Amino acid sequence: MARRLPEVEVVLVGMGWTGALLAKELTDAGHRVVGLERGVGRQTVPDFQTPTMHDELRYAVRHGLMQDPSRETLTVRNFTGQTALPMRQLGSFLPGIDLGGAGVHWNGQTWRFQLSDFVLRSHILQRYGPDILQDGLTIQDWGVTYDELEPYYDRFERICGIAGKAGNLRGEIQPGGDPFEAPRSAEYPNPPMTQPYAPTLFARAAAEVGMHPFPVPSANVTRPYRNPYGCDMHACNYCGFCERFGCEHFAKASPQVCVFPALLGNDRFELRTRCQVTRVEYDRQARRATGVTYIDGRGEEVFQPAGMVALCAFSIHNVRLLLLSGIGAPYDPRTGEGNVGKNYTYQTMSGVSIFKDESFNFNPYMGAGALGMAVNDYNGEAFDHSGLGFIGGAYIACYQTGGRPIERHPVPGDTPRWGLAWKQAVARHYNSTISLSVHGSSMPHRGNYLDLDPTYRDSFGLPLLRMTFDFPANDRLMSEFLTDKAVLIGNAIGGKVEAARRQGLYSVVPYQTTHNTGGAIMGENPRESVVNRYLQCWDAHNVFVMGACAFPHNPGYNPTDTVGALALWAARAMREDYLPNPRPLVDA
Amino acid sequence: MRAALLLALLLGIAGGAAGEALLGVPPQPGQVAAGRAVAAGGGQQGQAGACFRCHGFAGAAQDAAGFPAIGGMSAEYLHEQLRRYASGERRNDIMSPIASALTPAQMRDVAVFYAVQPVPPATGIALADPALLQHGAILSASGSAESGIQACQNCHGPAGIGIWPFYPRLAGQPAAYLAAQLRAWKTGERQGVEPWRSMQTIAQRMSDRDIEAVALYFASIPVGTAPRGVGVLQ
Amino acid sequence: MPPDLSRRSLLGGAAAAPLLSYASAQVPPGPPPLPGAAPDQIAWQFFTLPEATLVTAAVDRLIPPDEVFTGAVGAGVPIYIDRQLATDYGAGRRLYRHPPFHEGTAEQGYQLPYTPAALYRIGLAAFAEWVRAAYGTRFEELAPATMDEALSRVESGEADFGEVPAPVFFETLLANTVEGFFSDPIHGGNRDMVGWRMVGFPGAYAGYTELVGRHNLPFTRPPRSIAQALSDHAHNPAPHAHR
Repeated sequence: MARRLPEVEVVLVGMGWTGALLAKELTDAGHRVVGLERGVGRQTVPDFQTPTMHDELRYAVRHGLMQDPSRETLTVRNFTGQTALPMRQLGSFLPGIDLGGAGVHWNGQTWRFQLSDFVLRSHILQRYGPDILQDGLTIQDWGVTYDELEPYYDRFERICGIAGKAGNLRGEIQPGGDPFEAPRSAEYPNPPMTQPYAPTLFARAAAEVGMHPFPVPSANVTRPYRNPYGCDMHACNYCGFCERFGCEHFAKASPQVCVFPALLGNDRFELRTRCQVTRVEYDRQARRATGVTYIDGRGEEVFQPAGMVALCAFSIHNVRLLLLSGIGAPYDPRTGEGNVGKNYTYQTMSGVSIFKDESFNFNPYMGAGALGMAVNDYNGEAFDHSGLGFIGGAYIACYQTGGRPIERHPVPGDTPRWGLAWKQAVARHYNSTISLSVHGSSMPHRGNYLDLDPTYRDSFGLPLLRMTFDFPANDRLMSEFLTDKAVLIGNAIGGKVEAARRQGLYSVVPYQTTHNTGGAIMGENPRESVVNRYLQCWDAHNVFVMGACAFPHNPGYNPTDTVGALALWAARAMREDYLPNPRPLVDA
Repeated sequence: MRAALLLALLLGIAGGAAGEALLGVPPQPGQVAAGRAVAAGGGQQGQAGACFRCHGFAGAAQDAAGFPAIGGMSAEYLHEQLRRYASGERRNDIMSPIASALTPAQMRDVAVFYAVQPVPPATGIALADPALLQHGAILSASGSAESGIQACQNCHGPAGIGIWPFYPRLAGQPAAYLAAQLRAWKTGERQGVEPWRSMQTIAQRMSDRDIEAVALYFASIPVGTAPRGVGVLQ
Repeated sequence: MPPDLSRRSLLGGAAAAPLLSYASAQVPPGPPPLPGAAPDQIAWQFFTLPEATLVTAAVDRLIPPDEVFTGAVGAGVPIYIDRQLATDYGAGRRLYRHPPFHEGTAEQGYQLPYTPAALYRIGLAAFAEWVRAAYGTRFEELAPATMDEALSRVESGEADFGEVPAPVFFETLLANTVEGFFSDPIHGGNRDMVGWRMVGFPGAYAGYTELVGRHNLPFTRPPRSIAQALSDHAHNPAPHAHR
């Protein structure tokens, strides 16, 4: 029998970016909040300091900061007809663990979505008519508009100290920025990063072929900065150890740097680490949650009653918690009924390598997670899709994230995989290769979804999440088209140009991105979504679900800026509207 | 000057891992000798501007006066400091007029001259307060969670040995010099390098005791015995 | 006090200035066993001597020495793999190991019940057995070109290892070899930072604020590893000792 604790006003499940933001916003408004974190506490000093943090094997290859799959993983398959099998080691994506979550080991590429993304279905039908939509695509409008979200994008970017150059200030196109971005109310809080040689060559070539390059918006800050919470950040020193590492310099935005210094120590907030929430206790009759049950660090089961519950774990974990708790109807791909697990999407990635001659020194180790230049000429609705047969797009970027050699040693495709020729090719190409990323959108398809696995269980004996996913034909067409555009830029750069196209079935083995999106999507009504425009569950008004699981589709950008903006938008609704008067904020 | 240097780099010869080179460029023939002549008083200020009067020809520290050890620092670093003294970005009553009187060529030559000197031996200093020394060592290796200060060694290398070319050696420098620089950053008298202002940002978060502790700690590190050729700049 | 001008001639400064080269780099004292040493001279923590001998021969074909840079054996890769297999990685500490085990598709990834340690133990025995059957001798006795041929047949799956698919064993060995060649020397491989010097990676101590914008810079700083900090301190006894 679980030990029952005294009721608290708000309980947060997970203390990464969204948990930290909600905790700060709600305690500032006078509410009492308990934050539950399944991992342990950690902070910039001493946990992320060098030289020990700069250990590629320990952190990048052996995943020292990531979720331990021996305790919890998920099962995967490409189609419903297959038997899903467990992802026995991490590969395609890397969920975090411990305080700060994946907000510690991210790269910091901080993009807004486009105006059309929030009204995708309406926009596509109005611009192209229904014929452009391939059978099975389940796109829909989000229930919130860009204009509503804009102040919260702006605030999250200020909390993170994003370094960038605006391309569209209140409708006026700005030189040097992204002309295809949605209008911003203000310039970025910090100037863009210093661009290395390779992104500079990329930008020059992209402009030559008529595209519009600009510096990637970066959460690796470029000067000393104090954020709206009063937290101080220091300038990035381009050490090249961002993604998969914690930042030793207080330079990469993270909950540790940007929120916790202003939160921990507040009497209204209690952080409990090593508390793994196993379910939200759901009163089906009353259609509300009574609290959460978790296993604490001693292995004891604890019931924490709460007036309001917010799921702030990683996106796929939030979906699993809803399924384990019986909140909402699980999605059934045969009937299309049910919403929990529906519209699971990912990111459709490809790449282009340009092998230059040995006179080029790109020094790839002089890097940062979001250091680079990009073009958005073929992203989202920046271009006309008439006659193309697909929707969506991608940004094409030349990043210089670091030169850690276990994982980065590019060689031309005709190089043997081992032996003397391989070794000499590695030495030859390490410092003279340019890599382009094609970061493509992922459209929801009725066959792609999340549910509970019937066979495999985690270390607590609970069913694992089951992922059924393959790239829909729409996204494969998109990726071909976009990869051709990246090849065009590569040819303009000059050298031996090789494309790594999106081929074959989705595989859980090679790393692609940790952008697992959808599964608990937001929308205008309970028939087609799990949460309303304020991320409030249709089936339990005192349960809110944060994170990228709310995205009805995944645009061709990284998700974190939108995750942060949605959390702040939801926090305002909780603070000003819901907590003073708990009820469904949108009529069903 | 900057453009000329960049041009030299673009035309430069790869290889030459030596720290005495301006980045990637080995010293030109005669450059070291020309640099020594500048150090001996060959600049436009004559003997009044002779580097050796304070720094010697070995570039050794003078603990009592608080003059830093400049021998064996990277030429890039030394050149950049001279450039900042001359431009007023870094101010010092002694160094600013001397640097202002140097021609670009003299500035580069004398930077190379001191860069090629062996790291002057420092034997460490006797200390009265082991607790203070230990506090400095902790700041060096781990930083301070309370103050939001990162470890010195993130940039300056283990025990402040210096990371070529732009992160200077702290080990073996006079405590008075190190403390004076940190205080100057803290008060804003010494401006950090725009836009990063890294040392200014860090020094502003350091207490007087922190400053005293790290200055003493780095001053206490003996240098000159580390193996050559493994990244320790000679 | 005026400095001693006689100590060094004006040109002497230049003549005495060392041009650092990797060849002249000194190795810190008290190193672990030399990676190039014969397998029977090394204190293995996981491998049996026959296993170590086979791994040593195989990895030096995956990354062979050349005139400039040593290969996997000179870099200590067999020692690296041995240490990995003797610790958490070998034990599969982060591997989901719940049954049932099914073969699965390539897209579903590794589905064998074996930890890396077990995979090596079974795979190396099968490898030795297969080579004996196919070539009539031990792998390490083969000519280099024949070794390469044998490894290619393991890689392609033409070799039959029985319960462990030969390509799974090969890919694991190849991945671990690359790790051992490029990971920080604290893990036992990448001796003298040979992998880093080969590509020009400057190592764990990193900060390039004032360099990143200098395009096409020939940057040649010798690399610096995590463990080197310790060796520097060994050369610089703790300050307390000098009081």
